[in-house]
Amino acid sequence: MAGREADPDATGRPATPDAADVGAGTGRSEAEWFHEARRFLHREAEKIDDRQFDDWLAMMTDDVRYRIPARQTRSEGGKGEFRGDAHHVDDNRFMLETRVERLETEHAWAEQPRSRTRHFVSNVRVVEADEGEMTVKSNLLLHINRGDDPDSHTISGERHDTLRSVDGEWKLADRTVYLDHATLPIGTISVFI
Amino acid sequence: MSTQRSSVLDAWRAGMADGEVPQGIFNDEALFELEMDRIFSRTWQFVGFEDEIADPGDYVLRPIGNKEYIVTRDEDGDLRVLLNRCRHQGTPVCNVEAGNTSHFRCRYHGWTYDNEGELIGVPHRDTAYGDDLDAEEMELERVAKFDTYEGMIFANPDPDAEPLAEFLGEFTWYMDFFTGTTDEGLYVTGPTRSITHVNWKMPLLNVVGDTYHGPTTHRSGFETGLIGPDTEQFGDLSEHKLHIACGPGALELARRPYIAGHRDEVRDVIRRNVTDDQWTVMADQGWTPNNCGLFPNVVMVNLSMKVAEDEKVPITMVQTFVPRGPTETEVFSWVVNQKEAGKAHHEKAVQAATFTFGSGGTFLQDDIDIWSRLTESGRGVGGAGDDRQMKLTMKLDEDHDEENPDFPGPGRVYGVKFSEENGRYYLNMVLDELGDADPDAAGGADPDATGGADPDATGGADTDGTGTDDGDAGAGSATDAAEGDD
Repeated sequence: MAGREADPDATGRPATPDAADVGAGTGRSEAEWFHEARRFLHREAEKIDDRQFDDWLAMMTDDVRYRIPARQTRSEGGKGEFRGDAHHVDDNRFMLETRVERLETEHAWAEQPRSRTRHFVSNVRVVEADEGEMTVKSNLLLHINRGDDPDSHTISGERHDTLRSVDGEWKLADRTVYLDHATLPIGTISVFI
Repeated sequence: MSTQRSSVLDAWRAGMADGEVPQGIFNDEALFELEMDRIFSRTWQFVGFEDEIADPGDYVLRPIGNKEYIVTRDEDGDLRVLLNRCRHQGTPVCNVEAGNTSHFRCRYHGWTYDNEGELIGVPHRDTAYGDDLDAEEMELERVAKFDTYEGMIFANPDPDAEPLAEFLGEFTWYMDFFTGTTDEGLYVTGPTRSITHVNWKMPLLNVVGDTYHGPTTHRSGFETGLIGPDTEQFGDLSEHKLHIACGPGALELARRPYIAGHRDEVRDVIRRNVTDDQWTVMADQGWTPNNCGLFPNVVMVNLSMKVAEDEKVPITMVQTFVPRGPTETEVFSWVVNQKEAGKAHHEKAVQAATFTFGSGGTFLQDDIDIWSRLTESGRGVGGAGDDRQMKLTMKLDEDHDEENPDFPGPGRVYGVKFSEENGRYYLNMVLDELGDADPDAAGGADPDATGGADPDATGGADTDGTGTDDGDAGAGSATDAAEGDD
């Protein structure tokens, strides 16, 4: 199929290593790296849920790439289900900024009234770390409610993030959200996942 | 087969000629049953691209109406469209959306079929059946008809259906703008899938020609600079467009050269693959089919969208709006490109399409949100005296058959900025497919209203399909409906 690679683990990320191997030689323990990563992710989630989108954008690098690939239920299962090149979201910085700018108009109808989001970011695992860059995996449960609808939506997935140190501050350089959904249970994605 | 009479359908028939359509056509359950019976069980439906199943053994599962089919390429490389249902007790034999296999084995009692659909294995056959099982009669049911056009696979469960080429008719002249401008075939990315709380007809009603919604629904697109005069996206807002109705489809052309944004080599490929007349339209006259709808539920778009502040890319998308219930529709969405445009160009186009009209797209999300509210607000329409109607009356009384000697394409070509004529054309197609088979069920409604309202629509929309089917499916439900009523 067009654009499909044979590699069954399309994520290309290593499994979480032993604690002793995380940031080996950096002079910092795994616990310290974990604390750095967790602090970044919790703060970033807070910016989204509090709709501080300009602050949120400030936590991204200029060359950030933000992807939510489409999943296809396949016999081989696992990460191979992400072999395709289709995405629900595949944003560069221009696109993220435009989304934020759009939300700040009065005419982003899909977010009028606004969705109430609650990001639950857990199971933070630092995969690789040095002073310049961290690779972090985490689990995401996103609760979305809107208007007076008594029913909520729940989106679940695993995030693979690359954080880069820019002028001494961690910034998100790359994020891929591997959803646990093949068919998106919400009509369209109008919130930041 | 539906046995319920739909009062919404009666009101629809009665009001269509005046552009008055009960809002209940977007959520009436009895009408939905009729639609599944009379449209989705006997109309040509797009199920996917050949490129998705490029190699022998590749398969995808796709819905056609209420049923699920395995669309596969057998070991000889031939396409097969097989009902995903074991012939023993009906268990699905395929339980994932895509993959590659030479055979399908039912997990219940172990019956095994090859990917041509033949039953090749029955566990304990002698003990269980002796000679009482005719394997040939127990093949996976094949869809009655399937065919391809420019890499697009279509299927039709009706054995009496006209050939695909006849169904598409002259509309292929316009489909070529989306999938036909290539020698080497298409890059195909997708599908993405999402569930919307929208009736399946609503996206089509919009896409065939509702240029009127753009400035309001997509106002944020103008405000953020994604579209607007400077981007040539929808052309100059003051400029008129061409609203074209042609056979089973209708579309809107904007004043924006189709070939804009393509490299010279790709323009050469496009030129080789189109007729002189098509080239005149896309190059010399500078038109692009922005939005296009093919009956019953295919949407095609050609747009030019930004991937960066100063960079636009031409994008081509194909979407199907698959009915899952009166107020529930699943969207399948693909992005395609001429292979000659190159992988890098395709990837950029996919990104631009994803950002705008994909499942997380900044434009589609506003459409979907509004369509789902509209679907909801018509809930329960149908009681006597319920006047919740859509007024699709814009330019109802104009002459839509104006002469356009300069435009060489087929169909009814109507030059106007805003009009609801194509929407009426589409809804008339739906009515025609539902329509004439059950005069009893029509009750007090004027059965001539549809036909008389818009001779072009009825004539062009539905040539042979309904007529052929009257004898079987139609007559059956007419009887049932009559019994139910009386």
